[in-house]
Amino acid sequence: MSKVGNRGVIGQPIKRKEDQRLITGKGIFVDDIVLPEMLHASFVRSPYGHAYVKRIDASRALGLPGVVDVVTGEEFAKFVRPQKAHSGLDSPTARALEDYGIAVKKAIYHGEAVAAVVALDKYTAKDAVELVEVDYDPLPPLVDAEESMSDGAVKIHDGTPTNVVWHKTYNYGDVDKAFSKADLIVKSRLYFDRFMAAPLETYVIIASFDRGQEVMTVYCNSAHPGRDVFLVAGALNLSPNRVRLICQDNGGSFGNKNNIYPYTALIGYLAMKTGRPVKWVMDRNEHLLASGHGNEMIYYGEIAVKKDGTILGIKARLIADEGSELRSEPRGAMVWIRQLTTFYRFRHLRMEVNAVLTNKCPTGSMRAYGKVQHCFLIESLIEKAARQLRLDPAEIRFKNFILPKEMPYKNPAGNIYDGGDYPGCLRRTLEMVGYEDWRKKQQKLRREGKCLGIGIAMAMESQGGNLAPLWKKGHKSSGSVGSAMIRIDADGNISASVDSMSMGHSHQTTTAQIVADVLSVSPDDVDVFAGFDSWITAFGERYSGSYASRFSTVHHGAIFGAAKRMREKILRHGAFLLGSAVNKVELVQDGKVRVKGTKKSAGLKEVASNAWLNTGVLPKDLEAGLVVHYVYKAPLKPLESAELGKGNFSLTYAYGGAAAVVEVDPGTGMVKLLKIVLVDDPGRCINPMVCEGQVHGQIGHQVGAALYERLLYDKTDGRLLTSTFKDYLLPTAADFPTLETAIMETPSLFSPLGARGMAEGGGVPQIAVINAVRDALSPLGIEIDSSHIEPEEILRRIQERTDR
Amino acid sequence: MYSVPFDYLCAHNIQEALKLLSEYGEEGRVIAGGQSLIPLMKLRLARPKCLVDIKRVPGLSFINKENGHLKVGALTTHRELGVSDLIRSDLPIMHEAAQVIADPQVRNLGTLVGALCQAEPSGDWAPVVLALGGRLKCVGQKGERVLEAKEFFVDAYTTLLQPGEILTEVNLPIPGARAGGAYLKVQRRAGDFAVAGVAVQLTLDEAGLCKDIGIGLSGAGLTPLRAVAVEELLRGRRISAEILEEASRCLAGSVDPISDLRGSSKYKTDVLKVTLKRAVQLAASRSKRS
Amino acid sequence: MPNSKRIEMKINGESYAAEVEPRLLLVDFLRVNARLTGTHVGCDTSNCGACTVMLDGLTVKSCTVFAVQADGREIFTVEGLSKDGKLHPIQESFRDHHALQCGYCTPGMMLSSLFLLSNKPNPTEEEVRKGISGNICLCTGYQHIVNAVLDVAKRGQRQQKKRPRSGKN
Repeated sequence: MSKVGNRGVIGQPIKRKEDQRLITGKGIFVDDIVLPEMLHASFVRSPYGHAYVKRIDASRALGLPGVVDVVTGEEFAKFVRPQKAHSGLDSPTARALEDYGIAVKKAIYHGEAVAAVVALDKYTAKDAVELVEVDYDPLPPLVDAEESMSDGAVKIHDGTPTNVVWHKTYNYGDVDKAFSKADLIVKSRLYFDRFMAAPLETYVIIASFDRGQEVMTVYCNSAHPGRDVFLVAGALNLSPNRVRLICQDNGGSFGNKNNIYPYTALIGYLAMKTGRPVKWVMDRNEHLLASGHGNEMIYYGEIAVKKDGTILGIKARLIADEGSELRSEPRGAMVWIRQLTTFYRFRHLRMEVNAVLTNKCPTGSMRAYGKVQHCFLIESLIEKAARQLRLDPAEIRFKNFILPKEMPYKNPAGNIYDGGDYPGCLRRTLEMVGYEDWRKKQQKLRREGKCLGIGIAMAMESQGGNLAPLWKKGHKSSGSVGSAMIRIDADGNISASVDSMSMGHSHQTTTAQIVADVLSVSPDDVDVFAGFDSWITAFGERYSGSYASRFSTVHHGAIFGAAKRMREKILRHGAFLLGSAVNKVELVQDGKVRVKGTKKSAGLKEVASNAWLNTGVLPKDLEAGLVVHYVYKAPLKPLESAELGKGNFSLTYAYGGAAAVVEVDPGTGMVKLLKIVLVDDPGRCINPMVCEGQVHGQIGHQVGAALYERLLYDKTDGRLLTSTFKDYLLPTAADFPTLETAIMETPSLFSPLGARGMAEGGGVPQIAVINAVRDALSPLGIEIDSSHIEPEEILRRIQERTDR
Repeated sequence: MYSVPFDYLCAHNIQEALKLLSEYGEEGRVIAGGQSLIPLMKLRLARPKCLVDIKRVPGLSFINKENGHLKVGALTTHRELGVSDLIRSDLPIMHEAAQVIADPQVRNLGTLVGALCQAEPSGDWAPVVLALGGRLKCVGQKGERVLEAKEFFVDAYTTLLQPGEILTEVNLPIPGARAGGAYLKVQRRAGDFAVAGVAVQLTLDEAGLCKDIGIGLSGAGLTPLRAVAVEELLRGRRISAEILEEASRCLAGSVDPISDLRGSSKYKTDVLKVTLKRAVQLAASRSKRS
Repeated sequence: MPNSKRIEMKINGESYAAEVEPRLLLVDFLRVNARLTGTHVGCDTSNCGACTVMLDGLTVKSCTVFAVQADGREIFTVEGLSKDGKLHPIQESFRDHHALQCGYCTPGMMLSSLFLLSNKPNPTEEEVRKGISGNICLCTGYQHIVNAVLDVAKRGQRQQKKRPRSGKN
């Protein structure tokens, strides 16, 4: 690991800068902001999964005192331009999609907005929503992706030829030949359940339009603000520099708040129309219905293995249920290309991808976006093969791992793994969980009729690139950028900013650690202000934001690069001030510039003051002031072939191992999680305390997905049945055992600080829990094929076996 | 999510509360803790024209021991029951149930009486009160009447309580020697309503035969249910694996759970069957220890 | 306002009065009328605990209490925790143990923790988990929160040992 700076604050578990305001109730979340004359919006939403909107009568609502306006989807469509996010996709349906974020003629999922109400206060707005009369002409909803892709299916978007928005088969190696050599071929139809990231803070937007300057100011809690500037500007027919987008404290996202932008445009229009600031706070029911869901997927998978467990190849047909619009999608369906064969050395694989529209909430980014679905496929097939070969699930993985000495390793798609110790990670996981002991205990308990299961899983999480070249012709590389700025004022105060949004990530702290390390100051001396302001933050265009674990890769690169440049600047100004050559000075404690080998030095304040204020004396080649803006680009090469899905799509490939122990109650089907361990390799921790916290959160979310959280649509009427937290169950503290985690640090060979993304981890705890349930039920010959398990389903399966 | 507008009236004694309620008839609702009612009002599934708040009526919050009974007042909260020494020593089954109702915040405000009036079919208190053979004192402008818990729950979210009436007190007999009780709740997640819940309060005689037994069920139908047929089957019998098997078959014939997100009717029946066996066994083992 | 009612309550020791609609939620009274925005709304259905405050010393979900019900009573919110710029031990422990990430659930979570500790000064891990089971956190998986609460208890015990018992409680 290269030593950076001389203070060594990178890697220290320092306390967070964020906490003081958040523990005293002084954080500023969007709903805490009140603007003068502010109005409140609320949406009328479709109770049907699929229905024509025949008529909207707002007269009763408009008659309610305090109601300012009611705006229908049709009116929005006259003034707001639709998003055509994926018009680059080679598919007539995708090209035809026009996403207004609100139903214009037809509501295509339960909870889709059909009209907006604006009122003087939020209570009146809700009252008025009830008074808007909408006549619907219901259609049969398509909630099953396979049904939706069938020839005769009703088209969700009128005038499109099919509900399939993307179809492609990617071939790597010679999969048919590999299968012909197999001793065993195991097949599965697997299902990845729909769940979501449900941060405690829902979407909140305040829009305010300055008619004089024609500037739209938006306060919102987007996770992807730099992109939203462009999307909102496009929708409202403004140039992007006339949209000022401001984010501050953010009550969690986990990917979910990447999907806020259609609403931002709608609320922006309401502010333009009414001439007053408009606030909208999404309620929880709306958030579950109509924010952004995680990817649902059906897979037909096959794995070819030798008797000894050697994996020869995998074939799979994927059907990705995208919901009713393409927002982030079909990224989630194609992201698997970035980590095709995950940890294993097999070289032959065929994947047929079908991205299909259904009458459900649009899907979009979510923690371990697309990767958890892919890892679930691979890990499930391996698990089943191991059972059929009577191999221990750990043994079959060890048999197939890529080894540390092979790093960097190029997988069959051309992705280049940036280092890591996969067998070491699994060994550590097994040690931590006490694998051998549990296996012995399991034997004993099985004899007593108890259903104990031990599950392990490995999952990979690629990050720091983008997938656009796969559908956008002309994109040759999958690079992306991160942007950071550091400013030292004339009094020596250091401010740093990065174009990534913190939603609990601790960016203020970790950014300060990197800057402090490079500038030889204390992190306390580096001010990193929370949030994002598109007029102030030097953001990296559409890429800026927190998604795909970018902070640990491209944003680290940007901050680190900016800090190194600032260091150079300080040294040059210091050298000038001290009358010395640049190569004769060094940066020491507290950012002081010292002539090497002497006691002659100048403090940072002195250097800064001279750089800003004493500019008349500065030599021509010495730029005045201490400001650095640095844009980091991931060092990725042009792709080999976007058409064939070949090239290196990611800078880093983070990974983790998890093990879970569960007890299944054979009388009720209830699953009790007895133990869960996770080993994560983020390459290098900037702050181990923060890393540990992030990994805990990952366990919480992904165990929730396996056992508690599911978005369930009624097959007949298309309604979302789990539409409040009474039914969409989030696990509580009482549902977990003590979480046990460990961090391995195998530095990335490619990222500037050796760091990888972390705590998305490809959904490894979810897969481990499912594997544990599979293990518990394996003596009964029960296979679990879904990523979420309901106790009822378990009991039904047990009864099927025992009633025979 | 906000309620529709309503009138709010705060009663300072029971007569005032009854008078206010009578003025509004079916459009009036009593509120004490509000932990069942307010969420429904916010979802606009309940739209009362008027709330009569009885929280400030003196003398309605108590746990008293009288003549072999514990009496619990209309304002006594789940939490107060959960931490009461009297409850712990005299009605341990109630102590047990109080720990698994919703979560600490709800327990701080919600009341036993409120929960009974709500008649949630998957709630926790009703089966316990049914198993104990509780009696409910209802007061109206015309006077008071005492109802048996087993006749109180008449339909989905519907009780015998008339508009204008207030349930002021729950009267619970304290079990005698060789009694044992257990409330077992199967829940999908901590704090959720029950998939199925079984409350058993039994007394064994000196020979170890089941002298008396009360069984209350949650998640078993449109209302909380008392498993009368199962009680009859078990009365006078020794608790054995065979008899429990028979009891669970008998139970299956006497319940009709609602299918919902907590499970299908069949699933809930299966869970009730297995939970019944476990709860009776546990109650019996506790009885032997007492 | 139709049927409005004048109410007054003490929040963190200070009196607040307003004319309110009966349906106004306590959480909105706190956030909008009293402009104390540290208390948050997470779920609207009484399931997440983000809006937890203390009402006469008991934790309640302020999204499931009408402001009129709190007329004349005492409310305690996150804003009342630190005194004279000095953090409350629960706040210190949350910071020291990295028990918060986005911080949205934190105010409610700290109040539930405090209530738990006031009833069970020396809880087990399981008791802590049950004690905060009415508060959902998506960021932390709860582990650091549990650690923070256990540590406050431990610190409290050490303090007790250090300080010889005075006659008063």
